[in-house]
Amino acid sequence: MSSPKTLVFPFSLEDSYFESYAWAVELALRINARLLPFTTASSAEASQQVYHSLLAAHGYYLQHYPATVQRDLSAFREPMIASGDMVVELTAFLRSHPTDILILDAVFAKAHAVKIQQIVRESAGAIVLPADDPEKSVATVDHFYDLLRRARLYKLPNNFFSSLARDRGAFNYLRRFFQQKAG
Amino acid sequence: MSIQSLASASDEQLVSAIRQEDRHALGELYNRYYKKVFNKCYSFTRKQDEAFDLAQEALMKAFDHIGSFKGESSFSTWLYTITHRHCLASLKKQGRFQFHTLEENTLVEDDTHDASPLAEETNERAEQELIMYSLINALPEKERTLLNLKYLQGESVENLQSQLNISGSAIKMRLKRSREKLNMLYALSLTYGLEQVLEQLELFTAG
Repeated sequence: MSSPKTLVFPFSLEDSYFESYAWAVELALRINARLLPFTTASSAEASQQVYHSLLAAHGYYLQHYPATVQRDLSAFREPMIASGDMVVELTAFLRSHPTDILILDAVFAKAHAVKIQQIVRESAGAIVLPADDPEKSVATVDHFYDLLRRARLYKLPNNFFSSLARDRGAFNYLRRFFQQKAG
Repeated sequence: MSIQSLASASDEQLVSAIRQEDRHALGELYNRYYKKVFNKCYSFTRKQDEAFDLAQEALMKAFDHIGSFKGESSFSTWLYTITHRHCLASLKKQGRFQFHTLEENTLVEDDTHDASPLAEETNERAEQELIMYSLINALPEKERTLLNLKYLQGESVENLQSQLNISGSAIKMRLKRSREKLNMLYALSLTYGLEQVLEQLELFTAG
């Protein structure tokens, strides 16, 4: 049996990252991957803030993505908290840890725009999520796929969409999408 | 439920609202407790990364199964019980505490009462072990090391003498004091709660 895919989600406490985190968690569950949040902190106190913030983000996820099936706890891994410059540390981390998909928040990608190609180059594949849409409703299956549709995708593994296609939600979304087009 | 009423609602009112698919109520209830759950997990592990992991899993278990909350206890008690059991199961799975030996061999070696451990309920015993484990971990490093060497690794007093370069009588005296301290902290934990004792202990050792 192959080992589960690893998704890495870099984030900064200075940015509003809950929406993207929730999406990354949902993706991890849908494709049976493991999610590894990545950030930097300069002290034990700062690390504690990271843990608290991630727990709050997880609450956002539970609030906005109601469980339709039993959620697999093994999808979640302890966050990686490095100390130092975010881009340098993230690049070093990606070089030393095989990563299947890197998920980047729009704000994060913008903040590190100059080095984004360098970061993406170090991963097997990357998804850059779109900026928040003020018109959006609460997260739903459609919302998950809407975000994916609007995301920028870089060299995703061939089996990415086939993994996702096993998800019933994808089928329902596409059916509704084509029904709307037909109407 | 409106945003204003969410803040003033009781936990149980929020649970009722969650059952009616009110996702804002879920967010409110979750935000009331996630830090407390983290702190509880931390009181067991004394490591932030592990506490985070356990807290995340316990919170997910609880909030994904909130329908099974019957209201026979308060919501907080229900949530803390889930957290407690989850921490216990996880530590046991990792073989992180094996205090049967410690208890049987030594901590009661100068105690006169018959502990008769076999008569105890397994859960109760596991809970006692967990409390003891957490308390030992919270002791100052010198005391913790000495207790671990003697009772977990089974080092003899003679070996400790040469390892620590202090006399046998000094070692025995330190062990006796550490045991007494541990017993006292254990009694306090049963009375006031483990978290409270660990908090005070941390303040004391930090000062």
